[in-house]
Amino acid sequence: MAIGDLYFWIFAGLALLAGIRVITSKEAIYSALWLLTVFISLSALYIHLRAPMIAIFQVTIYAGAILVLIIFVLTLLTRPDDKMGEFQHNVSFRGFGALTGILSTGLMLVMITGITEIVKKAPVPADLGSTGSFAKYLLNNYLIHFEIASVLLLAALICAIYIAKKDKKAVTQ
Amino acid sequence: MAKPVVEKKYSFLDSIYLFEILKGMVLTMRHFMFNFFASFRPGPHTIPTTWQYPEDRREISPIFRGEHMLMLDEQGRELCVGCGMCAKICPAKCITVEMAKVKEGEESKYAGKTHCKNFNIDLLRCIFCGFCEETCPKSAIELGQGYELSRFTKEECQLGKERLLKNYHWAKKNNKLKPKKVEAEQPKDKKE
Amino acid sequence: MIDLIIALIKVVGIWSFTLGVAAVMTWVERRGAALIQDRPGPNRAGLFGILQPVCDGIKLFTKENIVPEKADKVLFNLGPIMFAIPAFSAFAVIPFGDRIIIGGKEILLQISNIDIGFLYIVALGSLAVYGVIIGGWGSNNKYSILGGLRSTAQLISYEVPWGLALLGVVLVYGTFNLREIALAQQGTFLGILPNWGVFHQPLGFILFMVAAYAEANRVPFDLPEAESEIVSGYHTEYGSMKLGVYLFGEYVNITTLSALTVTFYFGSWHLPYINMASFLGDGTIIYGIASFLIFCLKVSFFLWLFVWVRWTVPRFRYDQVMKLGWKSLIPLALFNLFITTLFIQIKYYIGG
Repeated sequence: MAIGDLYFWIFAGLALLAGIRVITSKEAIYSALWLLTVFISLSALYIHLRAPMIAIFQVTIYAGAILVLIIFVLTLLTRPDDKMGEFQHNVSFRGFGALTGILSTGLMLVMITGITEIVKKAPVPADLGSTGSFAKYLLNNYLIHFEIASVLLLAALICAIYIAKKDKKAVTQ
Repeated sequence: MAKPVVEKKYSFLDSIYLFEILKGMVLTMRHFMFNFFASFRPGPHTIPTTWQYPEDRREISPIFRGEHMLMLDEQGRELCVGCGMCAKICPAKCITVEMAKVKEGEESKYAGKTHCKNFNIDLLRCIFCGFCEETCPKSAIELGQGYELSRFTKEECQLGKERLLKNYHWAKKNNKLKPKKVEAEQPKDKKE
Repeated sequence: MIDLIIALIKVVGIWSFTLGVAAVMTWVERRGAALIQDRPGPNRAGLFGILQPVCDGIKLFTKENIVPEKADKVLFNLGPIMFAIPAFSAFAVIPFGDRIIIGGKEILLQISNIDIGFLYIVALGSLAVYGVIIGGWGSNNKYSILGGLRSTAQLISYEVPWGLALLGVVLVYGTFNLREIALAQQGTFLGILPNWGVFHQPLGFILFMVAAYAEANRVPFDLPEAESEIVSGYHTEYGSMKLGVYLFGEYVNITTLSALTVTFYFGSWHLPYINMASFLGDGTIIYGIASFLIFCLKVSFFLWLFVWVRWTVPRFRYDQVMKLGWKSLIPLALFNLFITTLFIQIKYYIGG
């Protein structure tokens, strides 16, 4: 096995193991830390696919901002004797979860067979993954997607500020 | 009358705060440079406010109540007669005294007819109040100027007779004995 | 194969250099602080107290390692590790000097010369938050959690102006690669000023310095770990070597930030108007050593600046810190970016 394949198997295995541990950990913070491991292994897999920019974005945005926010919420807003187990004993929840899991796995298998057909036939440009080509495609071919994403983030920001802002009249009562 | 509180108005340069930081840094650098060159000069107290301990020691006043010593008179005889008054009056009960009669051939060592066979002060209990010095009828015990009294084991903190006498010899050599007590002059007309 | 050996030698060399610098920094901090405050500082352990870090290291190793009973053992032990790893990893892309050519083989004085060096630094800056928050939570102590959350909020607030100020430099030099930014700072522009980052981006430099002090949790932003305010914050419950790793990690963080300041803003190994490569010979060993020494000199000036400012300025209150970060630094950083792009466009149109 070449060293590239070994690299892939190690990080893919780590990502799967960590993913399983995310949903089977008893403590919430442990799940968050296993999720961090998932993100970092995914980042390593992106480097293997010759996309260093996406790898760094994965670490910066997912592991560096979103996961920090999740950990903030977990440390600030959980009660110490939160009984998550109550949800696990409910039969209808478990049945619904199983059904959703099977359906989404089936969907993913269908998608994978479809994608391998497309990827085998696409030509690979010479400067795949470099900063210049990334910027060129993002700001020329995919500009509408970029602008809509930024407007969406702005809308979310404004909603969050509005929800968090206290009503001044109610406070002075 | 309290002064009324006035809100301080900051000028534009003050509110940027960077220039204030730079001014502060100039001041700090001046202190640093002065002390940096001072640290190379040999001798005591070069850096303004610190006394470097083993080399510079503070002056002790002559009436300081420090480590105890047993006194000798002018002919070198021990003054202590082993009466035990100091042990009776000690508030912390740290003195242990045993009296013994002076034997025939040892007249020259002791000033009185009896002497103290064992004399022990437990420094871990002593509160250095000076009552033993005030009450001794022969002025045989005095509190001297020793203050470096830490030791490593409990046994070393018991002042035996030899150590007490050694303190006296050291103090006499270094000229740290207290001046002789002089009776204050009584006023001429006590009764009106 | 020979590349692997060279890379290993560089890794070991730079790692021990970093640890040595952090150890000497403890001495510099204590003695510098003392001399500013009119007292001598450590001067008994060796001449001028230079062996004091050795004594401190021995003391930290031999102290008892106490883990609080109700604390989460995994998280408690993981905190210092997660704090130290991003601090050390950032040295992988910083150029320590120019290259050495031995027998036709070019050896760069930098562990890895990746094309996205700047983004790697920003990513590690984001990961530095974890050590604080996990250490604070794992201690099972109210003050630790408060200190950890405050410190985390301060760190993530100041990452934005930090990244934006550095982005200005990246725009001016046109590349993410750290070695090319260092190389591009040769020569002069506008006739008399050297081509350093600080002259291209003076406002960006000030923003970067302020944000760097906040990122390193140093005064005036050290409320989360101040002893008189919150009983040492997130490292209250740590003793012995774990505390040693936190304190060391803080000094390594400071060294990283000083090295970044020198690389981006102060012309990494270039002297102001002299082109050293021309009279020392480009690629000789002596040129490599000279560039390394110049880099170290500049980094040590910035390390001294960290100590100097610490004992000059009082610490900010927490709401003042947040107000400064969000209301002053971010608008200024965006303004700086706007002005930079304006100038670049004007230069593009004039230059043709």
